[in-house]
Amino acid sequence: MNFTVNLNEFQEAVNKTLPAIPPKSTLPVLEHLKFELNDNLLEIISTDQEITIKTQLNVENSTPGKILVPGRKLNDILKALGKTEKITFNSNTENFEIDLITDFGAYKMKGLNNDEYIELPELFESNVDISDSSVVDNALLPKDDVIRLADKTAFAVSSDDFRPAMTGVLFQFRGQFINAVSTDSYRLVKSTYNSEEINLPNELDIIIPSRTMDILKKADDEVHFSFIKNNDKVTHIKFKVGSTIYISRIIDEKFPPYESVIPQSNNIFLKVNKNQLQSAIKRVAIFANDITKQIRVKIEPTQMTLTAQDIDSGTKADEKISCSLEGEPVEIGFNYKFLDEAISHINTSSDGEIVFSLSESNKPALLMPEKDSKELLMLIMPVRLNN
Amino acid sequence: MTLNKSNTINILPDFIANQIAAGEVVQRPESVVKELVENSLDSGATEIAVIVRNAGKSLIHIIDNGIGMSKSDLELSIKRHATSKILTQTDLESIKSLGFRGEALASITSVAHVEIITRNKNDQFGHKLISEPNKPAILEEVNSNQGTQILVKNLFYNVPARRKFLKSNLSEFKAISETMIKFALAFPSKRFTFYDDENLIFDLNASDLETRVIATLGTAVKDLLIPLEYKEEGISIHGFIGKPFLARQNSSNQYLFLNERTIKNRYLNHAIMSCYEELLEEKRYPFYVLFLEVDHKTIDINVHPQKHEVKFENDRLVYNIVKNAVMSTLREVNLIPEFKIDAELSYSPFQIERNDEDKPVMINRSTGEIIERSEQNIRRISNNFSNWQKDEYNNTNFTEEINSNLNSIFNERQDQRFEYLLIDDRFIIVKELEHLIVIYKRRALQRIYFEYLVDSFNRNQTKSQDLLFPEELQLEKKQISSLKSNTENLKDFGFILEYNEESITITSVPEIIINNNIKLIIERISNNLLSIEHSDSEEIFEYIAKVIAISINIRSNENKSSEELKKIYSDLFKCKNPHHSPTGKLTTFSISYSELEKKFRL
Ligand SMILES: Nc1ncnc2c1ncn2[C@@H]1O[C@H](COP(=O)(O)OP(=O)(O)O)[C@@H](O)[C@H]1O
Ligand SMILES: [Mg+2]
Repeated sequence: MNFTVNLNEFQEAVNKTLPAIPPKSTLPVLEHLKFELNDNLLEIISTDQEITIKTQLNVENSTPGKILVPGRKLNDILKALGKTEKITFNSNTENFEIDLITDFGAYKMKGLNNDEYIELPELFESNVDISDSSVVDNALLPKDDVIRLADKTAFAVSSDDFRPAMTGVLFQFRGQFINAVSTDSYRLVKSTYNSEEINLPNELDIIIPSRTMDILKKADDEVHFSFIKNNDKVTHIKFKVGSTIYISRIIDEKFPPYESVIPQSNNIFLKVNKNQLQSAIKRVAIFANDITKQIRVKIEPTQMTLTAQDIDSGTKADEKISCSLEGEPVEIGFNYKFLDEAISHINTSSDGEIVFSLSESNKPALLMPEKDSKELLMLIMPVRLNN
Repeated sequence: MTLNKSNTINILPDFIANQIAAGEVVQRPESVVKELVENSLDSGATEIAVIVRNAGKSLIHIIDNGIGMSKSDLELSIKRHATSKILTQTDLESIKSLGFRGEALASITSVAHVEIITRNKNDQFGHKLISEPNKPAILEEVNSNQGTQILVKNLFYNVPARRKFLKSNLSEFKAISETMIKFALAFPSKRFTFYDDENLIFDLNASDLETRVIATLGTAVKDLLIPLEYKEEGISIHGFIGKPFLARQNSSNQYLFLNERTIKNRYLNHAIMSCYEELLEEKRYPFYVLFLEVDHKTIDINVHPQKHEVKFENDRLVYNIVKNAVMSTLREVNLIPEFKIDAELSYSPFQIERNDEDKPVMINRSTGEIIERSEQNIRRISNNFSNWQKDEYNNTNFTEEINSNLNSIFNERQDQRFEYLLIDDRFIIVKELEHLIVIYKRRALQRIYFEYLVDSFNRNQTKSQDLLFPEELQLEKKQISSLKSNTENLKDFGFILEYNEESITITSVPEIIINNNIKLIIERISNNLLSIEHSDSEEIFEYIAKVIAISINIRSNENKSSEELKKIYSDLFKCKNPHHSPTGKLTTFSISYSELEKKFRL
């Protein structure tokens, strides 16, 4: 198998397949990329048996063939090659040696016989066969919206293996919109994508593992989702970004009933400048107890006061910033890390402000870019203050 | 294990074949041994012999006295997806035999020279099949005993890349004998004979489990085994767990079987390990040989090519049952630490006793002084209590030395450059002008958390964090009632619980434990409350603080930077009792450079 290819494009393609190369695998073949070349079209596959990635690119002067190439080594050498224009890849079908040749150097490494690779389940071909044409079984989403959904939710995913459902992001497809929801039981994020033109699957709920969300965060083109079923149950999500196809296991668990914990009748609304609030939190947090990370927020008609106190070390900080309040004054305690993380994931409205909606000090606080936001909602459980 | 009666092999229909997890069955000699011994076991053999040469790379020879194969079965056996063990979808959902994919012989014959000699119990004559990759198999009639012999020669001779991946003979052989030990443990009622070339490794006659465990794992384990027998919700567990002394630095003494199949499962491993948490130092692994029996329908073993992993229908239930089993067994033999206040007192002369009116009093054992405690003082007293202890330490030579060292450090420390070093993720070494201070990180953090909890409890300042999704925890009635009668205490710590018939619902937790395994902590609290039922509230509150402090999960990737180490050091020495963990273990000592010097002068 031989070909010549533009180095840049080759680097990009190999780089796309890396997320599914396990750092150290019990199956050494999985540390390899599977190369398959036909008619100047090179196909590269990687898998860690959770996520499988297949990408394609055009090459020149090729003779067809198949070979397994050590993934990380190839990536390292390509990265180090820098600015060469073209690179030629020659592999020997007898001893599986691979030569990489550029204008100024030649690099040799050992590949493996393609037959050594694990049998891939036929996930790339099989597609759900839905006879009822009114059922939508796929979704094409703009790149920016996918990145937004992933970026807003991935940070609030739980790392507790004992609650597997919460270690991923729930995607609810609902015909005209998608809710992406994540929670670790201390906070919750719901990010929504609305579409007038595009038809989305109806009533489909799946939990996408956070590793897969990390891939979606880096989408560089529109994303075409579809679903792989087994015995009528979705087992994998498949998505195509540009010329790359990703297939990921989904988390087969029940997501907690999140709708019921989002307060519907909060009657205190607070508008505050995001940047001011964030930098106030940063300063005040330095004085908080580092075990509990607690800060207090006292909200009055025109100002809010942030207080942190660590009795052990005798430190204390107070900071006031202006705000506008609709409703009764209230005092509420937060873990400053949760508060700060939530705020930094909110894009402000045009005047740089964000909105809190509250009811009383022990009830969940909602944060959003603006009142009645349809796009994004963050919920934080407060820390109980026992005065 | 049941067989479909005639042992007649069928080729699986495609739709089932495709559901069978794709992957490679044969990866190394050990996988061949495993597959072939499984086949022998599936065939009903009571005696199985395994002979390997050159760590199985040149020869793997297996002999069994099982049911054997007829001529036609023998021919089919090496075809892919040929199996006598499942026929239908329903069979795949409740697999009782060890093999079921019909892949092993097909895979092995494609990468080695194989000879099978077999006689079915209904046949007069036996048959021999000689197979070479990519050539039609040769079949002939032979005289042989009932049962099957399989010889696998020159494994991977036609797949050089595979052969290249094989490790040294030593480690390939180790893998094989590890597998043989697992089989021997899983099937004590079968005889296993194992040879490395001409050397007999073991010949284990049918026996009971205990004899088998001792025969395979060494007579050293003999007096250190604790038998375990447990049943709950249709899941039964039996086997042995080891006394803490049997723990090792690695997990090599941990054997878990599910329906006679060896499995790896980190949840269940965690369930067992968590019971030993207070009995063992960090990074010590308890011994166990445990057999789980669950309804075949509630598990899926078809998720891993080597069948190492299983998926449970309800893995949390299984987790809890395994934990209950181990926990209650340890408790029965009184191994679960009763870190009563006494544990702490063993380092100080104070002891809590009851006076004539059955009121708690504190007695100084060295002076005989009796200190009465009034009920109103109950909370504050514990602060003083710790102070008394600290004063008392100063009277012993050992701690006096440390304290005087520390005092001099504290006096000078503003203008000194400290250096902090974390060793083995366990010990913090602090370099001082005249000496080194060594801190046991985990214990130090336990002390810091403990005093933090006590302080905020006394100041009435514990912080409680509501859960968005309350967690339900199944408990025994007596555990529930022990928690219930301490509702107020628990609330003061930040726990808000709701009590149901057979479970509790956790709705709020102390902020200090977020991101921890909340259920585990509550369960521990309830168990410990049970063991001190008749104590006064001061004991109880210290008790709870201790359980929380020692249960906080200290992630090993945390607390690594020099800043964080420094913080642990300074927080520890701000504690009222920096030298001991809440359970009374030493947290720190110092060694002067002159002492170090002395060591080298010997
Ligand atoms: N030692 C043996 N004794 C009797 N029958 C055997 C033995 N080994 C293999 N067989 C037969 O060959 C078939 C294929 O074996 P194998 O390829 O390991 O598949 P599986 O064990 O998954 O059925 C088995 O189903 C069984 O009928
Ligand atoms: Mg088998």
